[in-house]
Amino acid sequence: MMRQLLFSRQKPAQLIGSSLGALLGIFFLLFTLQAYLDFNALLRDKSDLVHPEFLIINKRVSMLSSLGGPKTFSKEEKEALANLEGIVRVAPFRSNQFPAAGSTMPGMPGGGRGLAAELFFESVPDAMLDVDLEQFTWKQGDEILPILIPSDYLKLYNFGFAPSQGMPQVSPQTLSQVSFQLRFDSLGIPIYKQARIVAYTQRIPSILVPDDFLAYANQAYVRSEEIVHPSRLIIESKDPSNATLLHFLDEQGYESNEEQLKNARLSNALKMIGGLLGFVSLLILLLSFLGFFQYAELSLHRNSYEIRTLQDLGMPASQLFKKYFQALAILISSVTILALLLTWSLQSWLQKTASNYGLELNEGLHSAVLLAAMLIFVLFILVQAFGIRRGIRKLGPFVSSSNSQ
Amino acid sequence: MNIRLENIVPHPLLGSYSAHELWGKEYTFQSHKKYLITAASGKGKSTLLHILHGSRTDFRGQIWVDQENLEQYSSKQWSSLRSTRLAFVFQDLRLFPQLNAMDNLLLLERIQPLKSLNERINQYAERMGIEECLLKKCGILSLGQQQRVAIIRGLLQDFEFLVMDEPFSHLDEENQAKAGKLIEMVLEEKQAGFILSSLSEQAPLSIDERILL
Repeated sequence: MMRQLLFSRQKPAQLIGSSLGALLGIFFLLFTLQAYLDFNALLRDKSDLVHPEFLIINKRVSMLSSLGGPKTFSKEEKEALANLEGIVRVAPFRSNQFPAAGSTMPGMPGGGRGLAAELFFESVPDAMLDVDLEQFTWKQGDEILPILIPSDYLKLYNFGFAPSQGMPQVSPQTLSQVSFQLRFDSLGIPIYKQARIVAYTQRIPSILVPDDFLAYANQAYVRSEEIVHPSRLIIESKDPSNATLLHFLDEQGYESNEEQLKNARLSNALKMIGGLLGFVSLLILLLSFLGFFQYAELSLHRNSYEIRTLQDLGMPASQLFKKYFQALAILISSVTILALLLTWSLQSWLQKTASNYGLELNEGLHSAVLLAAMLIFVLFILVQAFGIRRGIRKLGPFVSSSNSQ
Repeated sequence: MNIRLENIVPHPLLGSYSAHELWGKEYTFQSHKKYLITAASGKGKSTLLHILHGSRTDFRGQIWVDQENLEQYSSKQWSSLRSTRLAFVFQDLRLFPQLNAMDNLLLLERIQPLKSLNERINQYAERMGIEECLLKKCGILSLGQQQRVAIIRGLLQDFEFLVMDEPFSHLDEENQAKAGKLIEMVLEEKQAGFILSSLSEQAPLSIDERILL
């Protein structure tokens, strides 16, 4: 009976319209947040495709410059780079200053036919690496030297070298089982060490050993006081595509990995689109809030006769408020749950689709999204409750004048 | 329950009211007494009743219910006063046209629990001659039938004072007499006071005091 009285003059189309508006508003915001968090997680992932804050630079090599000795970076040049705006840190590549060669060990499991080659090694500070550092450590006295190689090198071997030489292709796991023997030349005395590939890097196109090892070996095996300047630097920047940095690199005749710059721009574009979407979603949510607020006010207005008369008969405003609030709470809860379900469905679809492109998104909804849904729900309820309370009081019997005499 | 008016003057009548028993004076409606307020249209009969009901606040002066100043009443206290101590029958009836007469009356229970409501509805409807209208929507009842439903609604709720604003304007003499008898019976049962406003100086029930506005 009360429902018949209090909701008798409602227009279903308006109810559906404002509920749909609210649903879209909440859904857009939740989905944008979920997508932002998912992509942010990818950005934090130590992969250069989506983690473009690292740039490797070297000096440009030209016909003339190749006559003038190695192109290295002086301490001042390094400092000039480090002082640029937005640069987090600059680190040198350390190279081996002693001859080195490596061979697979035919007698060892996975050794196969055996390969031997002259080698070079480089190292960078651990913070600049994109691999799990647990296995990639070395301290004096360690038997095995861990090695990182670019994942592209393995592809080069598997799809270029191996087929041409009639050798078997190897998986990353198999290769990790293979021990290599390294020979270092320390002032004419050979030093043998065993090595093993422990991981593959996508960030740095070089054969890497732990920085601690090269620091030690350059001292111990060469015993030279000469300061060796690095020929390559790795830069961590807040935004490697920022105009000041690009201009500086160009001006100084430095080269960087173009692919990384593209990634940086892509990442920036993603962030910008994310920010824009977030802003638009907030706007839509705000509009849907207002729409719903107006709908609630209009609903009260439509049943103003009933609300006023019931109060004339002695029904407390709080009892009327409760009736409207219950209906509204059910409606807003349904809308919020539906928006969450929609977000979840779209996220699952997106996660599957992204996985086909090699991007691993988180499964399920982020806890921050659930929290945001809860916050929106509470905010929505509070704003609407305020509107209903105000509306009912406005329609109460306490009027300052009346037409009847 | 006594209702005391202290120097009440509605704002629209400020400066223009003539001296009489009510406006600008002290007057007490005493418990168990029946009052008839008569005046020509526009003299403020409904205004006075709306002031008592609390739905008009544009007046000077104070109203006391026993020892309580109604000026200090909260919305909650007004609700309680209207549902348990002061019953009103409005001139414009204030029924719900989308509900049938029975539901209009049963609605009272949603405001305040009432004893043997169904039984009393049937009894009063029979005495007023509208038992056949109970299941019809109020929107399609004649004005006279609606007026009787509104009177019954006023009588069904708990009260210490019953206030009626021109409740017989659409009733013929026979139905006025039926209504008058029923009202007297219920007032007797409840030992309640009664304020009736009317254009006419005649009333279908006995009156203790007459006030001319």
